[in-house]
Amino acid sequence: MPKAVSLLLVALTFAAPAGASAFSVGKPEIRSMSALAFGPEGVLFVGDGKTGAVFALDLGDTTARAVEEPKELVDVEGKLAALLGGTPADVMVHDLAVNPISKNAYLAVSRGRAAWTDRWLLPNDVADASVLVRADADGRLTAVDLGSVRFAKVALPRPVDPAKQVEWKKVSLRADAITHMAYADGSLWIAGLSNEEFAATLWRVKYPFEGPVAITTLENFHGAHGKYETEAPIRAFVHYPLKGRLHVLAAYLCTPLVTFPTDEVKDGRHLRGRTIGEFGSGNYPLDMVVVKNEGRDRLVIANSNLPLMVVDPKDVESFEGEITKEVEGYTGGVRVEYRSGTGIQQLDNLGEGHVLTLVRLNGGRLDLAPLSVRRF
Amino acid sequence: MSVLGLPAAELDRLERGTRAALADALSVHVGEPAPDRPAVLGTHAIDAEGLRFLPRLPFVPGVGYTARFTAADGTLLEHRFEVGAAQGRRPTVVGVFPSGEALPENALRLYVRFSQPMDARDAHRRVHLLDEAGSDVPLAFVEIAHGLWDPGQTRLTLLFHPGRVKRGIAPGERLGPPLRAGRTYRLTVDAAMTDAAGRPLAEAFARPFTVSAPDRESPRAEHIRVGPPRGLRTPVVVDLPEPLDEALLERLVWVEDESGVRVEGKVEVGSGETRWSFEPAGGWSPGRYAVRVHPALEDRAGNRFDRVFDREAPASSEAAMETIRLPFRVASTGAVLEKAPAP
Repeated sequence: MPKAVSLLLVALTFAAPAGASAFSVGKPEIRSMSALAFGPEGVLFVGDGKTGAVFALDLGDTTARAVEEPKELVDVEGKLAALLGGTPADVMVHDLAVNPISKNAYLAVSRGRAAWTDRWLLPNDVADASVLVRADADGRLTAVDLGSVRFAKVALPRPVDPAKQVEWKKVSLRADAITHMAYADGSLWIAGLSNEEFAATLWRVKYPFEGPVAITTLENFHGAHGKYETEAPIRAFVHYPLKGRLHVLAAYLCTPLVTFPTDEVKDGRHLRGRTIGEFGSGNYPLDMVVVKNEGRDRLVIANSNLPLMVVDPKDVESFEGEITKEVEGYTGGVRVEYRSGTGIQQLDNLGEGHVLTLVRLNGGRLDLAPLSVRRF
Repeated sequence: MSVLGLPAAELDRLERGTRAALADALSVHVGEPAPDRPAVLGTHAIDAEGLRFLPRLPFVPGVGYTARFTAADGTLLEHRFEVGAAQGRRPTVVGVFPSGEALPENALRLYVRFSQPMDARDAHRRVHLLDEAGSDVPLAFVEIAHGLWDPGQTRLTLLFHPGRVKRGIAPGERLGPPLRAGRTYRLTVDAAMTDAAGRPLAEAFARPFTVSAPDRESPRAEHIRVGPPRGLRTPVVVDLPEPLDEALLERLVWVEDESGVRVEGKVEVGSGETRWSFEPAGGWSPGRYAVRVHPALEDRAGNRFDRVFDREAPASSEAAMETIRLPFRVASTGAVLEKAPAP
């Protein structure tokens, strides 16, 4: 090998952050598929809370497909049970992400529901998703073979100690090491819990994985019970520009909506967010997306115990002040509207015209069902 | 799942085929194969004996599967199968607490301890309280879907319906307490109860007990006796005034050293939960120690050291009871009670 080339390779190796790898072909050792998100060029990020790392998988799923009249995939639980060789009662879906290019849906699944014993437990609290399943436009479910794929990995600094427990749920905090991820502004943003004094954390790493992983701890006011919290992780978030400045809009258990300016998310910082909405206690926000309905942006939130919520980002932008006292009544702050849609466990954009939901119907069946953005 | 005894030509064909071809040749399905349901996920392998399929996740006992093999000439072989329960040690009930032969009429809870992590589902349908005639005592326990388990799923807590234990509340007034003094009952666990891996109990379990008069008095701190360790490798033994709650004894009694730091070590609860003993992990170092007892420690009827179960909480004017402190000393050659003269 010519000398110049080998020197270049050395330089590239040193450019990668501590604990990060460049892309190579092999078997990614993923212990728990805690969260999924798509990045540029059809790359799928898999957050692995148990390992405390994120894997970028290049699955080559880059054939563009337009979505016109998407169909429901009925009884996805029965079909996943068939694939996993068990019963529908064993199946849990931990996360859903739609490839923005191919529009194929990816599900992180486990056969671990036997350990689910309490209504407040989330799938990651009780089992590790170990199978990645692709649902294509024809409604076919196939397991993605991860035996030999092109992937890169980045380790997150100081993920929360597995020995620490959530007091009220009696489960390891490590289940929430990675709760949600999103790619924006050339970086992957990872929400979860770290081992810092203030555990609620947002990590940021440039993608392709490069430079150090920035770690910022967070706190915010929870209007439902009138306290600042530093240990509650973000449950779902999106990026959105407010007054020309990119923000993270984050939702938490019980259900505050909080804004953080992204230019203040810097390594080693502790950041207090601005709580601008309080949307109801006794509820996990499960997923959040931004859709455009006839030119107007809408923030759509799927919930564990409340219907679909719709917030106009313009209302967020114009909202003055913040919630710093326990709200009177059930909700407060920025205006929120409800849409029919209960039992929606997962949500992602499906092209520009739809969102894809994983929804538990009244009869008990679990479907992958598209919803038109015109509803919002 | 294996297809054995294949002709050499057939094996040769499969060996040269792609992975997809192998999956087409041998597939395993939950129930009957159906066009809209994927086959079971797994890997295929060929060896001298035949074609094998290994599921990615273990087959589940009680689920019916169909294996389908398609030969080169189109011959279709189908075989339906179930797998037996998982191999390995079957679970047992290792204890029921309180462990004594009699329970007070107003007992608050029972713990059932299992030898290994259990399948939490259906616990309330597998555990029964039977009266002398062998009939289920109705509404004996609070029905909690999936039961009340410890995080390791080896300890099931059964709460006697508090509305029937506490005085002056409708269910108790109407139905009376679930246990009646002077009568005999049996707690049973069905053999069908399974562990987390699907193994049923090695045998059905039954524990008879009699019921004594209700206990409406607090245990008293002055009746606790501390037996200091007799050597650097022997436990400190605490004799309790009456049987106390087995699970709380593990958490609410501890030993601290002179500077108030909790000493790590091994706790044993015995003698029908009237005895608590403790030995530090590396043996004792000579010095002053104290046994600490949190006043929230309860007896079998939920009476705490600082108040009885079904009484109003103490008025704010009453001073909250502090953690009980029972000092003892460990001398270099053994140990003595704090108040006794040094050897």
